[in-house]
Amino acid sequence: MQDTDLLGYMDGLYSYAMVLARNSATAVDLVQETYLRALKAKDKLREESNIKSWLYTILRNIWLNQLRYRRSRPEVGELDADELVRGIASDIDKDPYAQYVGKVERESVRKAIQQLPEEFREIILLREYEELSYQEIATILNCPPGTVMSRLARARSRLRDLLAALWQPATSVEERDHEDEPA
Amino acid sequence: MNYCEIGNETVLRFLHDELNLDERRAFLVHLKSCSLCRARLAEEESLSRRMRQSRPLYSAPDSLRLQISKLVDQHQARDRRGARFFRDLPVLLHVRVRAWSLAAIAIALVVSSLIFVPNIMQRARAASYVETAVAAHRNYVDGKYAPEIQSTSAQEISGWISGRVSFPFRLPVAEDTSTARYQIVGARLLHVKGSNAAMVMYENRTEPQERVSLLIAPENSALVAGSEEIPFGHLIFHVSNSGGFRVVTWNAHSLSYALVSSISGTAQQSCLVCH
Repeated sequence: MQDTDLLGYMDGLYSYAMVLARNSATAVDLVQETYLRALKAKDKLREESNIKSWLYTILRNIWLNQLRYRRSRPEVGELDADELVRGIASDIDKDPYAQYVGKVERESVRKAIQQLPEEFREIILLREYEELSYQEIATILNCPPGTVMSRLARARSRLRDLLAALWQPATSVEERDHEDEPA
Repeated sequence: MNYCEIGNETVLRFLHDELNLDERRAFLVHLKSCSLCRARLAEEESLSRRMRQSRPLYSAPDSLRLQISKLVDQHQARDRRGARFFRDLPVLLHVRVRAWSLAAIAIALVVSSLIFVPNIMQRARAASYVETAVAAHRNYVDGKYAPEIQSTSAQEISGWISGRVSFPFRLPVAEDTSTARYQIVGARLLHVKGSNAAMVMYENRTEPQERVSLLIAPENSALVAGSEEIPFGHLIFHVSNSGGFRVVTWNAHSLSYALVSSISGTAQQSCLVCH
């Protein structure tokens, strides 16, 4: 494995860090630390190992260690509000209206995901965004595959409720536009 | 129907391609008669679609990309320095290399090559995944690659491969293979860039000399590429022509798939193998 092979996982790792920490500065630290450790340990990795799962496991372990440390010094967890509008992939090939709808839709999904409890946030990210198998997720979370299935079902159910409560996507965009118009 | 014993987890496992072939077939049969499960599935598909449309959830900031790239560069430079050190070590230590030590090294090389010859012979010669898949397919078509397991049961072949490779192996799941033009006939193991890979072999049901192969390797050891891209659901198929063969590659479940055939015509016609 080349060191540069690791670079392809950066967005995924950053997303995972964001759903765990909900704070961009902490997420950046987590990703940096993950790469530092991965580069140091990569030579011990067997060639046929699942690098993606390995990197996610490293990141999660770093996060858990940080949590243990923080528990001895309680502090209020904060949601980096700027992140809700920053770092969205550009839609340069879409028309402005589609861009706007896509952006608002993405924001609503991200907002709903960030309102989920941590164990639901991470399982949604690992399965629905990173497309890891149940077995791979079970390895990362260090739990049986059955737990992955039941937790994922509950997480999706909760996410659906949150999205329904937030707004109905396409119609709401139009309704919002009309709300801005003078009576 | 207001009640169904099939839990939502089964619906999700179907949606996430986590059911085995028998479970999948049974669920598809059940789905035809259960409006509750159809409604559940539609609901779950809608949620999945919405999440897919919101990808990527976050993009790494440019500053982070830069930092990590620097980190990787530094690490590579250190590796190179280390390699140079060991290369120059004899000179640094003023070690006189004697003739007998050269002979010993030569003998060791011969012995190790004898041990690893079968392995080396199996290693793909081509650098890229597509070239490797094409080279392997050519060997299969020419009769140089015989299947290590022969069976028309996808489940049996899947089980055989799963027990021999170190990555979570999966065959692509087709809804109903009984009417497909090609049938699975066997498989063998190969090496792709130092990793295990599985080569699954198919034959035309009516013209067995018409062969198709599917090379499956971990995503990290095999880069998928093609001149034409065809999105299908959450998958993207890359289609190209190489060495006189049609190659369709795609990624799923952290695996790379390369389907090699002589099927001409549109890219979609390559899907006839499984469907």
